[in-house]
Amino acid sequence: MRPSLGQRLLIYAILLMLVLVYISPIYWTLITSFKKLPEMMASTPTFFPEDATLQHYRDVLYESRYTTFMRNSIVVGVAATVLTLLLSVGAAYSLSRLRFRGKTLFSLGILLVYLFPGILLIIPLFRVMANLGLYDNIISVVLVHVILALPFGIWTLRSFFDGVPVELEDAARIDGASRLRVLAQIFTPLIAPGIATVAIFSFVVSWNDYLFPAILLSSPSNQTVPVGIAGWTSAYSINWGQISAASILTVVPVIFFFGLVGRYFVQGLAAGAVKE
Amino acid sequence: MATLECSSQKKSSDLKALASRLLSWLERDGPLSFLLTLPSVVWMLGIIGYPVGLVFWLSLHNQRSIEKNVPFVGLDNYAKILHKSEFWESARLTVIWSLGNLLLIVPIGIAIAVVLNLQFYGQRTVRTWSLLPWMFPIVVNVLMWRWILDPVAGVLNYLMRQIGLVDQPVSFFASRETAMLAVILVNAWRWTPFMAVVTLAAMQTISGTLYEAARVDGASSWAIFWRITFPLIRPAVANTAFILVIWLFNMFPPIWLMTQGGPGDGTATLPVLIYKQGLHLFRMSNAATISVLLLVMFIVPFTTIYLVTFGRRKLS
Repeated sequence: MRPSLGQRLLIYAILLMLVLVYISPIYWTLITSFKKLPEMMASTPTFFPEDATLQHYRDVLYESRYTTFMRNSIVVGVAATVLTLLLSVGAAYSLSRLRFRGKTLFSLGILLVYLFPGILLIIPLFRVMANLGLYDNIISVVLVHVILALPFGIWTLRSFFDGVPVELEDAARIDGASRLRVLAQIFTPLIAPGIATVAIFSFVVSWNDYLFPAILLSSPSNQTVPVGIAGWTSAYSINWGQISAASILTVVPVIFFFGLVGRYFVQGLAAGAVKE
Repeated sequence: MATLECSSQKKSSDLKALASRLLSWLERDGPLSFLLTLPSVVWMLGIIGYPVGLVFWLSLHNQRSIEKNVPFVGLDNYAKILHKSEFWESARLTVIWSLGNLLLIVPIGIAIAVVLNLQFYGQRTVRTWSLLPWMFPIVVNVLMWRWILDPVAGVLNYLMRQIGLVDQPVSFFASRETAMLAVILVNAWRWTPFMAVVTLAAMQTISGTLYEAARVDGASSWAIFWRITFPLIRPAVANTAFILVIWLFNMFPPIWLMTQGGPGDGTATLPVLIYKQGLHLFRMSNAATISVLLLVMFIVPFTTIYLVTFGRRKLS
């Protein structure tokens, strides 16, 4: 049954309001990043920059440590992503295709890792990394970030493995291929969208994380983007133009990646929280 | 020479035999799954299992920063912390923070899901992109809002004065109540899309024929929601709400980045207290003790209820 015209107008009105609530803070940050200081601080704010400038972006990219933060974030994110993929492909394949003792216990472990709050780890991890000599070394953050995306990675890839017909695997095995070869050469291409989804999710989670770099890294030259930008707010007078420009630069890759595989994120999160 | 060659040949054939035995061993489910799950298990034990054990150990010792030879003090830390009004005030704030968030996120999330479940132009795109605010770095979300809420040049204060809601600019972070309210609202803004997206996924598993049958019988949209949709999405909503409660109890970055627990500890929930005691004041054992109390008082009960209620379906 199609809704009547009045009902449809109401639906669009509600949608418009929702979109406004979610878009306007982002829009406000975007225009702030182009405003000159007097316009930014004016008592009557402008809703479109009257005299747009790229000064804040230039300051962020050439006069601040932003590019250093960004390099660190990329290194940490890529390393954590590669490790997360290696771990979750193996674990997801085992859960989907193999029978082994302790399978339920392993599934329970993954669920507990998913639920487990990071704040309880900050005190012991600080000490562990200090004892290992990894304090203020980005390796420590990589090691922790792997755990953050691991449950999502295993659950998502498991459902992709479940979708591969058993006949394909059997055919390859009759031809004499070993199981590890079947996993590497038959499965991996078939679940490529799943691998891309997990890779991007893992990178974004690492890129966004504030807590662990904040406690495990101390020198500014080792810092990642979120902690680096947050540090700018402790200055005596906060430069909102620069912070807005840096914020925009930081969310651009997130938006780009989300455009690529966002619909799989939605499915994966729903699978983690709804079914199974 | 001859013997040497012979032995090296033997060695390489031994190696080959060993490798092929290893490979055939890996053809069996047990060994292969052991090899493939071992790294994940090691990671879980190393990054979560061992540190959790260490938190308990630290709470029974008197550690200040990272010095060696720390004295065992038994339950002294617990006695000390449980006698502090600071701890109980912080626990109270943790409950207010979690409850406030939950009461906003769950109903609004469901309402948004209902709207997104209707037929409209651009539905698929809106459904996917509605998750985006949740994918933004917390730091960016918080800084965006701090600038909007700024008492001097913030746009929200300007708009509130324009529509005559207030005469004087409001300093949201100057009083305990408005600070807590602001932190809760900003966090709810971030998490409502997550709730909506998950609820929507549950709604889409409901068969359309159910709705049609109800409409043929003349049921109103309101009745359809409460008699058909809600009972069928309730498991998913309850499941997500439980996960959210566990996360909310322990959420640290949004509060810290917005108020640093201020003004005057007015938003210092237990996670903020842990951070301040441990990494600002270097009272590691105090921080560890509060961590254990947070775990025992808030996380263990909710996780247990969660596992008992939803665990069987999740693990099968």
